[in-house]
Amino acid sequence: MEHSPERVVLMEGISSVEHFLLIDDIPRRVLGDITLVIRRTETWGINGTSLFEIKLLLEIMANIRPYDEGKCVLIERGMMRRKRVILKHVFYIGSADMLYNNMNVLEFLMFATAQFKTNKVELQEEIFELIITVGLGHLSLTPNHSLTNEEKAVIILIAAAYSDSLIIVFNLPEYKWDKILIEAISKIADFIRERGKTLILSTQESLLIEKACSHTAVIHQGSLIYSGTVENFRLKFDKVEVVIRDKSVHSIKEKLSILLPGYKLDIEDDNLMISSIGLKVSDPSSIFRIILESGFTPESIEINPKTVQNAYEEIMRLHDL
Amino acid sequence: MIYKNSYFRKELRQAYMENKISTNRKMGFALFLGLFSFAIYFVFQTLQESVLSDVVPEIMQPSFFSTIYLYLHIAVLFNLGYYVYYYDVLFFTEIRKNSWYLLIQMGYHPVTMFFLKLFALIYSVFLIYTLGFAVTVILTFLLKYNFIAAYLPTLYIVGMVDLLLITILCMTFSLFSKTVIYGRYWTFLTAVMVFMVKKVSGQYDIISNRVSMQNITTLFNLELSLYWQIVMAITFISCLICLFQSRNLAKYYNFPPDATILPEEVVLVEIDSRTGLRKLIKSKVKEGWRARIIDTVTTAFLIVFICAALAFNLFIILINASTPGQVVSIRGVIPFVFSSSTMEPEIMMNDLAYFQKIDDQYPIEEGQIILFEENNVLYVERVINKTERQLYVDIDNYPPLSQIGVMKKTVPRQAVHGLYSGRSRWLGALILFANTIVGRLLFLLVPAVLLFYQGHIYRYIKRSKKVK
Repeated sequence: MEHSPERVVLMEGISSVEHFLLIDDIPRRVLGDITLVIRRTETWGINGTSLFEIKLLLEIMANIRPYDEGKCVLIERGMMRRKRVILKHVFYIGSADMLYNNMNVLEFLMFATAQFKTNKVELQEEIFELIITVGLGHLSLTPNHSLTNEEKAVIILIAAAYSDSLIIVFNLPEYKWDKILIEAISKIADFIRERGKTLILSTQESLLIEKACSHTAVIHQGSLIYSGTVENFRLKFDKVEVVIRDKSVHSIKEKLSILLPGYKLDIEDDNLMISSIGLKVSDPSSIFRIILESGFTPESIEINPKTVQNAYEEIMRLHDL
Repeated sequence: MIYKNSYFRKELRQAYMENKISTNRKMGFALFLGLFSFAIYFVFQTLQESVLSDVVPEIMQPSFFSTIYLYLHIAVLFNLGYYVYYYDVLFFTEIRKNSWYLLIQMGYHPVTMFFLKLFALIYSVFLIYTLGFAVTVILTFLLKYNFIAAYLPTLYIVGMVDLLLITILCMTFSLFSKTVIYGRYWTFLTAVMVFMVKKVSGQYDIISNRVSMQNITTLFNLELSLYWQIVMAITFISCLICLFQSRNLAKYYNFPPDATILPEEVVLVEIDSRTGLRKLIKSKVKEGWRARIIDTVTTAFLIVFICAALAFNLFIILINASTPGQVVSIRGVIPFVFSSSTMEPEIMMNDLAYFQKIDDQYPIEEGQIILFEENNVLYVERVINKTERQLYVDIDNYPPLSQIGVMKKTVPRQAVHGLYSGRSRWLGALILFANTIVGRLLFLLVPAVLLFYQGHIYRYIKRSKKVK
């Protein structure tokens, strides 16, 4: 495989030491044969069915958990398989306990950045502006002990954004993110990217991946089943092209199934979903045209905005089958 | 406002949001320690005529030495409580929580952080201890005792060194205890260890002697005790361990001790691909057994305390119920609190004396001590002579200025209720204490409140655990 300085994470055939003991004591590797390449300034969202699997992958990636087989290179530096020392170029966030509870948010961020040789007044202004920009201005003077774990994690992420580490691993897949925090993480991810760093996060929130990430990877049963851009993931796996809403969707479905033989038609809650089959190129406008030309005037008809959630559900359906 | 916090200032704040609040709390704590020591001294003064005056005269004397000596021990006890309560912020739990990991990534140095943490804690201990010491001395002036300045510096050093030793040991142990709860147990064990070392090395014999404590060099006299050498060795070794272990621990990311994201009923093992050896890492099935043990121990402790306190109160009521004409006996033994010095040294003032209940036919020998009734008053005296139907008795110890022989009595045999069979000096002191206001509060009011509000207490404990 070609080796380039732009590659900040290079995992080749990584397998974990950890195994799940299944029925009849048969072991199954938690992670097996994982190959992943992550480049500088990319933002990756790692998703999967098992929280433990995705958390473990990022722990291995951050060199805080040893691995059994394969090769892992971080920013051109190989990692020792059995040693899990702190690497200066990786900032790992695996819990929200890192914050000191006897400070408020702004104070903590100033404390964390106190060793930087910069003007403190300017630095505080900059941090304060960033907090406001990411939509967390209301938290800036809140004592840390009053924050939720999710809020604490985002504050740690801001601190990490200011660090010298080139890779930030945000490994909290068990946390539930609301829209405000998703928006905040998305903006912090932009800030991280602007500073030439790479953010890798694990989550089961598809919306977070959609808003904050440029790339995604999906792990299922210990194996990587997708890795690539979020855009490609949405287009490739969210097959629904057009959604029709009408009281008589069942009769519409019968008629359209004749007109659209190359498409799959499903009904979900009075919604008729028209999906493409196979690797056909997405072309919702032609479906739209056929429907209108046939003389149907449903109550509502819209082109499906491809979402990560739909794509994720589809990829899981494919693999479960 | 521009925030310019250093690590040292952060440490001085301890659990509080502002330095000023933290300093005020420390000063308030010191004032409380001084006042509490003074109050405890008065409680002990109510037990003046008990076994305590013989066993621990150093805390029973009307002198500055006693109040300060009490303060030294109360300061250690309350500092331990302080350490246990604020364990999270005072010791190295922050390394386990990866707070140091974050700071190291942001350019902080672990060795500097270690020294700053140590100095900040020592400074806080020094501030609280010194203020409390001063408060105790000032309050003792109100009692107009003879002020002897010579033993003040020696006592001050003794208390300070004990606290510093406990502090550095707690810091060391906090680096090795993986959970806060274990760390708290270790904090208590540390105090026990320091107490044992002092006892074994003979340090207690030196510091409880108020004459020898007037000379500060006595403390360092190797012929008397090796305590100071042991303290210095332990402190030096602990500092080294702390320095290296904190640095070493901060090198790694510490995993939180939970298995919340492990799938239900799944067992996680580590398998060595070369040897095929399996090592169990986590199992969700096993979770919760520690919490159950702690719950059981707490419940058992509460039940034992409440039952013991109530039983003791019942015992006191029974003893006090003994009146002439109706002496209360428990399984043939009459307990009797002896509030006189007339039978010293056989029975001391405020001892709990036991008398074997006897009938008219029971043989009584000369020299035996009996409990008898005369004119509706109970007396305890020794038999000095006897006839078939009468006993001649007298007391052992006539108080100064009293007329010898005035207590000689002739007792009809049927007036005898019991024959002296033994005594308990400590139980006597405990009964004396239980009859004081503080004793009543501790033995009657506290268990009653615990019993009445046990439901609320359980709910509070459970809620606290959930919050954690």
